[in-house]
Amino acid sequence: MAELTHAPYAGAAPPMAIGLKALDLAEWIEPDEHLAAELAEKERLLEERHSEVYAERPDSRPAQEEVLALLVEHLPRVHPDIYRRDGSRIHVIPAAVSVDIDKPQEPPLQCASRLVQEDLVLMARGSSGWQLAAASLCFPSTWVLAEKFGRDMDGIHEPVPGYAEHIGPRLLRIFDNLQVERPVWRVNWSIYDSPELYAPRRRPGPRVWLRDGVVADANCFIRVERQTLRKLPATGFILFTIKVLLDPLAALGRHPEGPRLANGLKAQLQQLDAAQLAYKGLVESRDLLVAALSRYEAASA
Amino acid sequence: MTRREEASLAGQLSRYARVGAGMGTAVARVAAGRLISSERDFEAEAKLLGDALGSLKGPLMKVAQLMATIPDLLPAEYAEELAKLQSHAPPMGWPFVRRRMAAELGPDWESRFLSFEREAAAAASLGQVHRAVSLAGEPLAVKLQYPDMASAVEADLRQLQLLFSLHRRMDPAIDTTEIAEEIAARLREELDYDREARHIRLYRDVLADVPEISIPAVDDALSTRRLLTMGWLDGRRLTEFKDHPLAERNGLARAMFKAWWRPFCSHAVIHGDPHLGNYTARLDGSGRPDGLNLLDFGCIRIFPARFVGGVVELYRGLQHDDRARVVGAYEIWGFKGLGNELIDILNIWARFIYGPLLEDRVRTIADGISPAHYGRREAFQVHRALKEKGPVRVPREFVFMDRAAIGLGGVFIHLGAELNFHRLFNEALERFDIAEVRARQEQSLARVGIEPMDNRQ
Repeated sequence: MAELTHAPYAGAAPPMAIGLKALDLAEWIEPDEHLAAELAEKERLLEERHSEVYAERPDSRPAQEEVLALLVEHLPRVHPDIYRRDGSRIHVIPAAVSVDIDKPQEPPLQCASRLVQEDLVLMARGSSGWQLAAASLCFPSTWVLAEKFGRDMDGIHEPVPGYAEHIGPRLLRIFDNLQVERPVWRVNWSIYDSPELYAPRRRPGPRVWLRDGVVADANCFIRVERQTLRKLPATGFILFTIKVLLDPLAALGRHPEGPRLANGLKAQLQQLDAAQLAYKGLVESRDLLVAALSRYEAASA
Repeated sequence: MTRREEASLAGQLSRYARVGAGMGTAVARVAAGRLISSERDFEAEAKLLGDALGSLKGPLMKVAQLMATIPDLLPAEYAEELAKLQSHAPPMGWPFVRRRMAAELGPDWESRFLSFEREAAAAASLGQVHRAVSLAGEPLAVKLQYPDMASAVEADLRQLQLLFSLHRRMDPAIDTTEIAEEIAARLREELDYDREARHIRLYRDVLADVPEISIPAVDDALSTRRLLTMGWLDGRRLTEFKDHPLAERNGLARAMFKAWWRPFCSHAVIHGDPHLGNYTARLDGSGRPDGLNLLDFGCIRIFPARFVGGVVELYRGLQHDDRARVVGAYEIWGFKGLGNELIDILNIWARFIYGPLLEDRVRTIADGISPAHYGRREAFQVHRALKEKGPVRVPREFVFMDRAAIGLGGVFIHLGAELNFHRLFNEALERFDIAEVRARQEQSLARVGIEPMDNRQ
């Protein structure tokens, strides 16, 4: 089983760096062994919480069509073991499901989202910047679609420390200068006390670690978002994909590079300033987490 | 590279060669003209030379501009044409830029930028500048050197030697031996963008506490000896401020004064090429200028600290009319074998250069004199007097100080600045101490990785 596939905390980049890299389109979508489970979870959320996980502006439909067409072409070609096209249906083999890609009553972005683990967000350039124009967002990491829908990037990123002074202008430049032929990707990390993929809000009250008085395998998860940005050639919208990878802290003990990864994560936690700690919800529990990580550092030392 | 590009590149290189040859011929004609007759059509010849040189942006152009400031090396009419030289080099086309970039950063170079503009944004010393955006979303200026510049520079330097040797045969007022060496050294240095990167770091270090001056940051991972990637500084050309309110123009001039004199007085470092194109005005949120962007660091001269002492001594000597101090200062500068008459001649030049700094009043640099003519009258006077009493061997530091002072003056004239230059200079000299300059310089050079000056000389 693949664990800790992406470890953005183990490099030299400072915590919360934008850290984009060029994306090889062959690696655009990254299906893994959780595909079946996550698609099932998406189906459940689309069924039970539709208004919380899906939103669209009517003018985003052409871009939605474009996204669906790109995925329908890409998935069976790049991952033939996983996806097979059969007329107007795409079979997702490991999940034993088939998705009708030609269902007139279903928004194309939602249909596309049912094919992949990734959440799909469409951004449109408006007069005041890039706005969230449509999204299928089943696995949010502490953000609520309804609060961000239709807002521009400044509104979306309001709570991010240092956004207005440093990150905002750079993000705008990145979106404005993104080239169709040069998609990019990045990963970020956070630490959660629950394995829930659907996590729009933090539970009120202190984190589980403080309540339990211990950081344990069952209550501590490294949550990594693998994000890609791709400018759509026909409509000029930007497609933002987010794949969530959740690994229990205990995975550090099983990974061959575990001590190094634990060391990197610990260093990043220690580098976070007060505002960044607050943003990540770790003000009171950083020291507990650092102590827990030290154990994994020492495990093979 | 397409065939057409190869052809145009070959054409460009052969143009360098042709202009080089043309230059030699022109000089030969000047020399011949001098010998045979004084009735020559300088203007027509100057135009010819300007046409030949104006079609390229090579090292030769910079040499030509430098030469234009050396009295007697070229007739005034030539100097006037050369002063007008603009960059008209054919830019490298996109397929060629891609190839050059791949040679510098590897075949996957494009993946190291978020975006990279195909058209060059500007011509630069020995290369061209492209705008780009980094993967961190930072705007970048990517300066890419033209191909084979090393051999082009060497070819130009050979032409230059020819020109100087012809000049020396003309019974000159000025012995240019050291000047030629200085120009050659700086030009060869300018080929090395890695050195320029260190110069940029030096200026960032030296001017770190001057908020009105912005200096780009170098992106080392995207730079080589022939590729220099820096942060892009937004700004407007200084030429656009001619009709702006005096307060704005004065603000820019004050920043300019600081940007030039501060590194000299505190670290014995100068920007050897302070012309309008090497700076832009930085704007605040409301579009008003609030500072200066420094853009080009190819021509930085690091002096021994004692030379700054000579410059200050000369200033103090002139200020207090203290002849012994003045003479001592010239010796520190490196002038040799000075008699009383030569000292008087040099004083004409020194009073011109230092004039605005000596008078404790608000003034323009030179009322009613155009940048192209600035300093010409004094140069002529000095030249004529040297012709009678000389020749004098000009020390190598002189060439850049002189050019810089005139370049700086030209910018102040252009801005129509009205300032108390005396006070600005004395502020820069506050607590001036040679030992401290030496120590500061050593520390800064060590921090940015430039070999230290030999201060014991």
